[in-house]
Amino acid sequence: MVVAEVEGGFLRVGSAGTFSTEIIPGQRVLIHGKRPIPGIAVKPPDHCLPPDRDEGYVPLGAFLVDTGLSPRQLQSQVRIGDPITFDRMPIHLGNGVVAGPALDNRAGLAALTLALQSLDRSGHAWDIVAAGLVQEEIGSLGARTSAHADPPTLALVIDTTYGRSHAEAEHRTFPLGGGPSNGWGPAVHPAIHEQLRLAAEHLEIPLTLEPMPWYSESDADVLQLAGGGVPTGCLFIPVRYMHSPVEMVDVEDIRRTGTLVAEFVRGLGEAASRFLEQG
Amino acid sequence: MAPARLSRTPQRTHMALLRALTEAVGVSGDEGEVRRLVREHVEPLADEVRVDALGNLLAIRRGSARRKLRVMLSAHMDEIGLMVTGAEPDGALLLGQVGGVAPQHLAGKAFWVGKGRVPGVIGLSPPHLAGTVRAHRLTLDQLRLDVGARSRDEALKRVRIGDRAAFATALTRLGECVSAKALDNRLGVAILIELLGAAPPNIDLLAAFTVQEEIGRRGAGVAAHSLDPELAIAIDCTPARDLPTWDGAENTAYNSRLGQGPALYTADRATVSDRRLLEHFETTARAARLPFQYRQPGGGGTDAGSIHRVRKGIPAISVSVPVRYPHSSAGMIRIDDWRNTVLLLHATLARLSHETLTRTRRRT
Repeated sequence: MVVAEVEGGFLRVGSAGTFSTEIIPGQRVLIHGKRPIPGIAVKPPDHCLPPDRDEGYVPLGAFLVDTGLSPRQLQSQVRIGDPITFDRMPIHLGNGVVAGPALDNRAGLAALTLALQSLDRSGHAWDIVAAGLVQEEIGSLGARTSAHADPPTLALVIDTTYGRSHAEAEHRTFPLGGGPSNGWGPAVHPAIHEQLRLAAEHLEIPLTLEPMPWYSESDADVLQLAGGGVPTGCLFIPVRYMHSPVEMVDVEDIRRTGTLVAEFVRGLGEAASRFLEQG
Repeated sequence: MAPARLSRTPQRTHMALLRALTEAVGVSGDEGEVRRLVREHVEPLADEVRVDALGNLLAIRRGSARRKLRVMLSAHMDEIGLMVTGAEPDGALLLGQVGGVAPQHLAGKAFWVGKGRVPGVIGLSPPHLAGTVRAHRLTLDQLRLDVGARSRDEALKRVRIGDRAAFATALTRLGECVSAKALDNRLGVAILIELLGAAPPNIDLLAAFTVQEEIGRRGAGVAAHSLDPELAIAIDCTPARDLPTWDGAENTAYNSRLGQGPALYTADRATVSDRRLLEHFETTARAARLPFQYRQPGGGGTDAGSIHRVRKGIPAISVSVPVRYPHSSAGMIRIDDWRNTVLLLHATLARLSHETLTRTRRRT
């Protein structure tokens, strides 16, 4: 987000959500001002940066966005508070693997869309509310308000999880192409976890248990607290290099997630109210 | 052939040429794609075109005057990049660096790998997982090139050990500027092609499109030996570190500044510019009312560093277009700096004579 204009047509920026500043230098960006303005996010040369940098750490506030516009042009087109996004098209890497920005959580939206497309109206007993929620990255605010007025009987959060790359511990990451993960922990109702497991087994879709010992780090953390409490499940798609402009996903995992969500919904009948009762 | 007209604003053909050149891949030692493109453009303009043992493309255009100077203009075709050096069991590719590419410019970028331009990316662990593990100063050892393969075998079906990788960046206009990869030095190459088409009659223009500059200026020396010029000018790009400082203090280490015109070299780490040539550039710029700036003396080097010590010594100087963020996925130049560099070089060439080098007047 644009937080200040500095001399010579440069912008200072702040962050909405978290990402590693190491990915910034040289990123093409779009400033969503009166019209989209292209620019480059840059790390100024060392002699322009604040001193005493801890282990080479450079705070986001020291980075700049260069638009190539004159200060006057910039003033007329960009305002403080304009959002900035990474300007990169998705890249098809072959074999169904795609890299690009915002796959967290457009991958989830794609899976939800697939699920809705594959559901026959007569095939499910329960009403489905498909919710595209806002401001998850800054505190699940959309989930908070959308579940308030009419809390659902049950909620399923479709989001992304850490896809494994060479640099991470195996127990905290999930391989691309290995199927979605099924959240397990205090944010998840155990019966929903079990129903998802059974549905995946029935469809022969690989599904990995994701231990979430404290928070789910998803909208589930607030959805389960809506109204008088909502039984909530978590289905997460592995995304590698999360919160970077080259997030990576296996499209097959998105497809499997959509299929699994549809199957789960079809299974919600008379009996469902009972499986939600905990012994 | 009629001399091409030089213009202050870039014509569509200029921009198309710069786009084609910057989007071509030519990591040092593998300049073939750029060379083919250059050859296509210079063949109709030159009297003689040849490629030497290292891959330098030499194009000669003879002037029509009687007492001509043999003037070498060089522009390097290569760019910094990476080489695939190994593959891990999970399909992640290990990397070696080709030239001065900083690991801090690699994370979160897309690449073209090998001759087939296989797409790949270099990612970074999410901040949620990396916070305490990774030092902020990235090293190449921490990074992998990822082509989306699930295994070593799958990765090595798409790319081979030894393949080069370059930033996958398309040229784009940004306000008064152009942003692209490899502006250092495809912009120099574009300028030299344009000058070859508009060479003044008083010189034999010996154009050297050189290889392997970024890894030690290896191509320019042998090119100068073959061409045996009376003087040489290296056309290159120099970093513009003219950004605002953190605390608002004056930025005195800018090296060069965008929008101030071509940057003339007095001295860098590889060359002390020939004073007569420097003076000739200065007086030409003043006479033609063209802007110029001095590149701050200090580190760095251009093809001139190799050229000026070939044979019995060749008077040489460098002229660079200032470029912000060179050696990254997206550099940036100002269009008017580019055009003024073309105009100043052309005016300077047109005013060259044997007397330029016989005068010993001190620089004023």
